[in-house]
Amino acid sequence: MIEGALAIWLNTLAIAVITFFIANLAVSLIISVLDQRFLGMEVEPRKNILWLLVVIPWCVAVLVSGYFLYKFSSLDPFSWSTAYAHWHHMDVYAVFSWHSITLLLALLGIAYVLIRKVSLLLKHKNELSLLSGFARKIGHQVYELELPQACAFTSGFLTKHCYITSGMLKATTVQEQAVILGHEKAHAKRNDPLKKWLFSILATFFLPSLTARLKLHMTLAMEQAADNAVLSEENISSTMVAATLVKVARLNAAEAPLVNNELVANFGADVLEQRVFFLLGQLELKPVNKLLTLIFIVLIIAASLSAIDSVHHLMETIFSH
Amino acid sequence: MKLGELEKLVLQYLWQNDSADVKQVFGHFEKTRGGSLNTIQSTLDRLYKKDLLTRHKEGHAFVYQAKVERHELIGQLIKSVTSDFITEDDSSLVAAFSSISKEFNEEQLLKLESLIEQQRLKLGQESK
Repeated sequence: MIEGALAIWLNTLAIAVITFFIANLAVSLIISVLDQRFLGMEVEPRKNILWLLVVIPWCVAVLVSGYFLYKFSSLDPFSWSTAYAHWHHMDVYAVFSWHSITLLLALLGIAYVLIRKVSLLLKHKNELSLLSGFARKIGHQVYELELPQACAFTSGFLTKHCYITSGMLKATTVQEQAVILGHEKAHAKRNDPLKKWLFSILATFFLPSLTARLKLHMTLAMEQAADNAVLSEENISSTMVAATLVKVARLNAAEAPLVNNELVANFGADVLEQRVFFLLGQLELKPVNKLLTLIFIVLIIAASLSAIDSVHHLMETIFSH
Repeated sequence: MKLGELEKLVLQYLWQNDSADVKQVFGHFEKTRGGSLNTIQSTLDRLYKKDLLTRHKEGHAFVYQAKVERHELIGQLIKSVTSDFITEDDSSLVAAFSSISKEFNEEQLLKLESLIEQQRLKLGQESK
């Protein structure tokens, strides 16, 4: 049994973990219900909403545990025990209890995700470094890779590079290359590689199916934003960008075998279709309802705050300390 | 994994010549850029440890070969760094113009091309 300051901190952490799960559940429900509605939102507000969704369980966990800590340290023990949300043993922590198991599992989970992401990052860095050894600089931030297949991508967190293969250069016109490189430079300017990586870390804490949906929505939003950025350049029309997109898709389809997995095929096709529809002005994108968003945030905080005691009592009914 | 200038040149040599031992590689570079036999030997060792070369013993010497062809290596590296972060683990690290557009069928592409053509015609008529 631990008592005193350490117990208070361990209990605060336990509260944060349980709150995170409750908020995560609430956000998962929102994502499941509103999944298709995200497609109808304007690009930049949609990106903000997606960031908000992946960040909110962490913020609510900090807010609620902070609230508990504040209440415990600022009120006398009698009013504390009758407060709306309470934790009846804040200054006592049983080491061999479900609290410890919760904390341990949460720490192991976070450590696993972080170690995996960092090791993948290092592997990626190694491969990219090797790849850049075969690249030839052909313009500002732009490198050519000698490969017959058509491909273009942007990578790097601090120093961003756009890569384009000789196959892509050969198969496209100067104007199409301006579209492709304009698109890639837009990704570099917006730090999309870094943002995608951070987003994927935060999205990993949801159920795998929701993680995939969240990443798909973020990918689509980032691609649409980069497509849009190309339109600001002179002599490039939206039909030109859309046509280039389909042409590159056709080149890729000719080189890569079709994927049998229906879900994967739909993912790719949905993203391309949405990008083309967006460029052709066939989507009626609406701004995000700020009031509704605020109501959702307040509801998630209120639900987490009110559910934490119930969860706590339920767990202590099932398991003893 | 970064490749030094000499490592790239040696790899390039082995891509052009199927296999070679250290003396043959040294013989080529002695004429073109100088250097010692030891430098070439350690370069070959480093490339072998980086898993870019295979080697087998013939007599007392190792004979080196490039593990994969240049295009194959570049293709593998691109595939690995751009593997879609939706379907695979993590390529949350790149933003690719084409990586997300690999999986479609002919019908979908034709439908999109026809849509673009219609829009072009519509815009053309409006501007007249």
